[in-house]
Amino acid sequence: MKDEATRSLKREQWHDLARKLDWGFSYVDAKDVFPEAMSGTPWLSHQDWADWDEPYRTSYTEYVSSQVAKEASVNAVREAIGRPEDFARLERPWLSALKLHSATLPLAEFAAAIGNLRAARFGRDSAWRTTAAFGAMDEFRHTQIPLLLMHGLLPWDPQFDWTHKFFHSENWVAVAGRHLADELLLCANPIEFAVGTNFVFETGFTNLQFIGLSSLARNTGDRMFENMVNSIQTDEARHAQIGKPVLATLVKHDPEYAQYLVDKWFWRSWHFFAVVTGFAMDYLTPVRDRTASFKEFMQEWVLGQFQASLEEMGLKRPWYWDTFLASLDNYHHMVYASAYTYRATVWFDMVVPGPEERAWLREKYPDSWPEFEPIWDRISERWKEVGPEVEWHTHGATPVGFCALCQMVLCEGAPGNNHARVIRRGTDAHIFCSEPCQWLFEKEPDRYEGHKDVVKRILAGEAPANLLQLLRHFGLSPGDWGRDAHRGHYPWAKREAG
Amino acid sequence: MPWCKAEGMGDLWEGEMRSCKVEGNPVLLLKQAGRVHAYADRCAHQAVPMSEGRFRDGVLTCRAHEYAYDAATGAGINPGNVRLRAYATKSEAGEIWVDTTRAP
Amino acid sequence: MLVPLYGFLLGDTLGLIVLVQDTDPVARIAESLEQAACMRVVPTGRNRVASGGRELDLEMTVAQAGLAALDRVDVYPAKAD
Repeated sequence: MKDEATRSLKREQWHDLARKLDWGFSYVDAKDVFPEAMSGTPWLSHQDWADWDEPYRTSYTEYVSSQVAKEASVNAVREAIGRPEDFARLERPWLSALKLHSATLPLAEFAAAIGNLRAARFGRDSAWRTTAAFGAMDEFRHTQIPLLLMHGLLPWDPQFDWTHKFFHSENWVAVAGRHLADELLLCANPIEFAVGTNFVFETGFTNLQFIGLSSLARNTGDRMFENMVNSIQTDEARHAQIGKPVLATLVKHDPEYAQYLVDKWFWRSWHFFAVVTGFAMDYLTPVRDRTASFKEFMQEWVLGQFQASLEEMGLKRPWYWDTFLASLDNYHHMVYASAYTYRATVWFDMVVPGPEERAWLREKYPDSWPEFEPIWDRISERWKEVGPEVEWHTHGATPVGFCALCQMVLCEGAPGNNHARVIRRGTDAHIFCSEPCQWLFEKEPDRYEGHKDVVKRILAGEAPANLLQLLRHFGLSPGDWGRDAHRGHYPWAKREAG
Repeated sequence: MPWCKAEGMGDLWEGEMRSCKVEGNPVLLLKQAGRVHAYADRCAHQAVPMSEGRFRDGVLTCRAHEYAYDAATGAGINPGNVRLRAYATKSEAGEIWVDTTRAP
Repeated sequence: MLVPLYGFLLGDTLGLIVLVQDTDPVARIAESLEQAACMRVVPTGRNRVASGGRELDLEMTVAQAGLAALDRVDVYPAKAD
């Protein structure tokens, strides 16, 4: 190595001595230093965590020099291709994928910095704490890079304002996003955080967005997005590896709880990615640039590897696996068609799949797509009836229902069989989009039942029922609410002459 | 027929890496210190093609998560508990041959 | 009294809120839901309404049918005669 002469020892020669710096406590009890409420359940002696190991090693010096190089590279790309005119060349639907990603991820990453910092203090082994400290710094970076890059696009397109605004708004997607991020990232103890965030969300799912969607970004010509997410992804292996050794110890001491945490966070992560990545891959990426469907990316990046990891850990597939596989064929299609017809309630434009896109979807989803055909026929017909620019003819005005657990619209199942179910606890009714959401709620009702979904806020007089007023409550105005990406100017929607 | 020609790879330069298909398998070829090495073109971590990463100073680095391998052996440098699948190679008449059924 | 219900129209992609008076006939639920979903599902004007696994009499009032706030109701096309 070229700098060998200038270093006294290589990292691998000293790092193992330095990464384990745990000591016994003399005038306080270990339980006072690491209270169970902060460090997580089960509370085990340090001996049980002592062989905690992160296979991918990093010293602080390496961390800093490698991050500096990455920053320089992102900045170089930004200077070269980060101006509005570079983005103006991209297809409009793809820009919506960018807006969806930019709103939902950067401030969630910031929340993940908090989760990592809690582990950096209350994780039960020193190597775990150090890796989590690096993780927190990673997450700050993952927040700031997209905030900086998208800020430059604001004067050109006000919808990019949602990069920063989203999580601070009362928008229904933000209510769902906060419900997830608050529990997973801000409030979870280090054990639940390691299983939910590091093992399930990051190891299991983020490759969809950071590798799968990034490859589509390259095809569409969005080199900025590709570079940004690739740079973020290179940090991921280092802090995501916290998950496995924590889960391994948990499986050894409380396998039932380990299985519960995996089942819980797999389902919740699934709903998040089905919308963020599912929309982007199957609807917002131009059809000529698509290399695989969302389902195929899921099969490649999530199903195979996740199942292998579970087996390696001695865990089973989540009990709702068959429900999940059916959801893989339907859920994001259900949400997309619903959201298209309520597009003014979101901060990005949406697109009607035309004949070419629908042929592609039919081929990729042969079992489920036929049920969606009549819906898109109907929406297309409504566009033809009024012609371009008349958004409201294909837009709903009636309030929609939201799941009491995931806070998303009631879209589990298929058009012919919606899986929503209502339960009553005392005088309160709670509706769930699916059996797994009901199961999660009933496992920890005290945790969830105080939260009001958008409908309950409307019924309690805390949010308006009128659509236009509700849009304002959602943080939207005519300047940034979602429209049809082409304003209805579709070649297939042209009315016959005469 | 275990030995297969790696089509169009005879002109591989010192310090260069390229991917090709051998019997349908994606193979990474690289040349270091005058020797050709062949590996399955997939990172041991999450199967991202190594050919999309970097090959510098004798180290192969995956583009996705920066897993690093010794280019001469395929052994993991960071993390140290993984390795690339290495294949036997030979050079004949200016062409490179790979046997994906055998280790070097 | 106003009764908010979760309405599910067969062939639609999501559940909607249907607001009816407890004195309205059950048929009103089907009309409201079809209208609310008309940009996705072609209205038929001839429907059945069910809740909790039982089909409801379209001419009964919402109160007589025993529907409570935030119950799930399902609307299906009527069988062809």
